[in-house]
Amino acid sequence: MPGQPHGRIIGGLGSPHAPSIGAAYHAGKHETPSWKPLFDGYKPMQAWLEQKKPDLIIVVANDHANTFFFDRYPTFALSVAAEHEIADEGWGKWPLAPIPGNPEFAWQLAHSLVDQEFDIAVCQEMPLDHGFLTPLSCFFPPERRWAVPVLPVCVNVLQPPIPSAKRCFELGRAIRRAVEAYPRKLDVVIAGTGGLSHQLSGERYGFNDTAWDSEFLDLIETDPERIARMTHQEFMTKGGADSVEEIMWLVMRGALSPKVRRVHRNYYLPMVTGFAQVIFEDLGDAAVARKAA
Amino acid sequence: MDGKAKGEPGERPAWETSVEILPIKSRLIDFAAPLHGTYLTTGSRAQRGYRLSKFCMAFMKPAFRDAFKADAESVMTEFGLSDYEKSLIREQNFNAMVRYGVNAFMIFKLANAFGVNQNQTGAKMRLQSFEEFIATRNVKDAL
Repeated sequence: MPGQPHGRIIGGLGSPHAPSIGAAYHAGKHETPSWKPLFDGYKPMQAWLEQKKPDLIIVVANDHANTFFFDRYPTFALSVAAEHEIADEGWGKWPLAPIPGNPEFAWQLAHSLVDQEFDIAVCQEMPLDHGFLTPLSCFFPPERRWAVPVLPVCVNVLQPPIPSAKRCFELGRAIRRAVEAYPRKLDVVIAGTGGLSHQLSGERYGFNDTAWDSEFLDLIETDPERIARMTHQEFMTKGGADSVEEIMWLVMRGALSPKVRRVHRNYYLPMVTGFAQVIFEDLGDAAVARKAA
Repeated sequence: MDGKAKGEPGERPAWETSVEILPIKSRLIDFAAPLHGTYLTTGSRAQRGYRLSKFCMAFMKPAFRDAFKADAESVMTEFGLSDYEKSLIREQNFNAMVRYGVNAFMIFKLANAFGVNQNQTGAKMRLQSFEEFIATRNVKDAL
């Protein structure tokens, strides 16, 4: 589509989404010694977003039994809502305004994904929990909330069967094709969220492996297909049961060009979860888009 | 399984202490070789824990939180919880709840009604005191 306006992915963000981060931020603890090493990692991300001025941010996160319940649990879901309520997770809502969506593009994305045989659930209401609220609170300073519409994509990482890492990587590729086929100017940033090593239940609560976390950050940048070949058993063994949510970083990475320019990387492990932040700039490989035809 | 403790008073169901093998075959997860201290919410375990999970979800409503704090026993009975499920709640036995089939994110909602936060819940899942648990962390006050 040379010369014609169309959508494009301009970059990807990686971020944790732990509720403790959002809670610390809203409690004004971001300059305390315990939290500063993490929150300083968001400053380049805020500056990058301010400079790039995306039209839309696709956030890939998981529900934590706030948007959905196990009475019916979607493997993949996206929101076409014009506005997203803040979920009450069991102790009151976070002090945030509802988050705007982009229904027109979201419906198009739903159709494009199903056309590509990604049979994703479509939601007209999607109250968002800390999986989305933590990264979004940190990506934008209060005065710029919520200038950029958000398109939430949920991946089941709570109740096996969980989609494979490869499937998530391919979902990212399908999202890229859908964005590039969109016949309007739309600069899209995609965020993959989730902690690196962590386990939040059972006697293995608190498991971490910083060496594996570091290797993961290398691989997600330079050789994501190797991570996409991993089984959930491997993720859980290396990084704890809940680190399986790293598959959501693969959705982000799959949506980017095969090679990316890393402009930011930060890592901090204060308590129970390996927190990592990255910015990958897209190098605009047209080969990926051509496959869409 | 009907979710009730069997046999004499004080006797505990097998899943609280034994390694439970779920009869599921998957290329992605080796259910025949569960990781130490790891209980995935799926299959018969998820089925068993479903009612208690649903109870935990009710804490998303402020009115339910208030009612539970005012009269937990009545709320548990009205919800139709089994005696075993009630005992897990009274004991704040978060370790057994995980083994029973309740996902951690649901347990956190229930624990909060007792004023127990996520890492305090986690310490109990590890069968440790909070002090023992926090001593294993890099930054003790990143809470």
